[in-house]
Amino acid sequence: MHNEISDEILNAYIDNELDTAERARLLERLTADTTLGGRACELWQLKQMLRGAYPLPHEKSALAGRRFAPPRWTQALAASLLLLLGAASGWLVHERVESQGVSMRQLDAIRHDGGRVVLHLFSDEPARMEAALRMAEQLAQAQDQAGKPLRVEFVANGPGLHLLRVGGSPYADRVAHLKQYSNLRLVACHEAMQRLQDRGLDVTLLPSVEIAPSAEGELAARLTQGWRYIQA
Amino acid sequence: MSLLSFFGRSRQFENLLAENRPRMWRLAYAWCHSRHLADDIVQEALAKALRQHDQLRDPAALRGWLYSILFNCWHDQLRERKDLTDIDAVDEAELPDNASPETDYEQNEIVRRVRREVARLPAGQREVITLVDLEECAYAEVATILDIPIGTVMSRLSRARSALRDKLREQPAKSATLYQLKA
Repeated sequence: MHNEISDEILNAYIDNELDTAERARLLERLTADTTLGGRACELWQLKQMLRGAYPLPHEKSALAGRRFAPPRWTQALAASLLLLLGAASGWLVHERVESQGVSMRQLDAIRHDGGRVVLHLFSDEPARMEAALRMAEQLAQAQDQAGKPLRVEFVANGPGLHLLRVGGSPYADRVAHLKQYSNLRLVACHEAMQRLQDRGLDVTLLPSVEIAPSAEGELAARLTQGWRYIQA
Repeated sequence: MSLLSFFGRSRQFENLLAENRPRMWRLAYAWCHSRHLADDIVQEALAKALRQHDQLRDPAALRGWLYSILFNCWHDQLRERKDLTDIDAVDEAELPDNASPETDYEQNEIVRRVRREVARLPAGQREVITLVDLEECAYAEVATILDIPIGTVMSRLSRARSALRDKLREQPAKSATLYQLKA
């Protein structure tokens, strides 16, 4: 990979078009270079913002050829919140899941902000799934400033939804193992489930996985409530 | 083997088309930003799909095949209606009716801004970015649907995102206000 990273490469990264090796190399650069990380973050947020601006029309209404269902407020809110978070601190990129798991700096930030964290997975790359699971396990075992367990929410959408699917997850046993933590919720995005079903895939979720109408809405709700956000 | 013989009955094919209609409508709307024109484009595309069902050999390729037909119908409209080449008026009928609370107003403003800037993109860029972001199509799939090289997909996407980023950066205060309201 050349020294200068083009927008086209960053776009390919956020659109999951890079192969595993290219992705790993770019991730190293993103972690080391805050400016580059900020650029990738901004492009990712733009993608979320565009998605939020065009919600899928309500099926019944669309079939009748008439009205859109009103856009859910949370989708637009998610876009603006993510924009703010990224612009303010680069949090989205810099707090990506590391192979070593949770850093002390991350834990301190979560504890400082009330001990609540939402972990977001948007990838079916095994290494990223595994790293996200490791982090979920570590967070579920950690405590806040008052000595109580952290509250952790693991939200999966897009390709990341495969982690929570029966027959699609390479880590079904580890996902099942997370059930033991009462302070951790596993949440699947209903819109992502529908997209997989549209492609003819059977989308049965692993036990104890809950469903949110949309990942964007769920993330927005949590961010509004002051939860920390980490993207896997 | 034709699609009809694969699925056994034309009724099943019609059901498949009906299932895909909401996504086709959203895509058409994101291209033309007119509710009524999106209706027309989707109707025409579905009618063509029914007429040309024999062309679809692989049922797994249904989505891309439909989007390709939709794209052709959209460009038929572009050729026929010169006023569509410069989309400046975004049909906002789809925004929520109950925009009286301040927060709803702010949220709708963000949606309006994004749609307005997407509408101002050149059609080629608009088509690529909506297929990638809304429909989550892979670059190769977009290249097939639009019948352009994959390098063109990447360059159009890059230009589209760059333009949107610059335009949407211009009014950050709206987002900040929204955050303060909801935090």
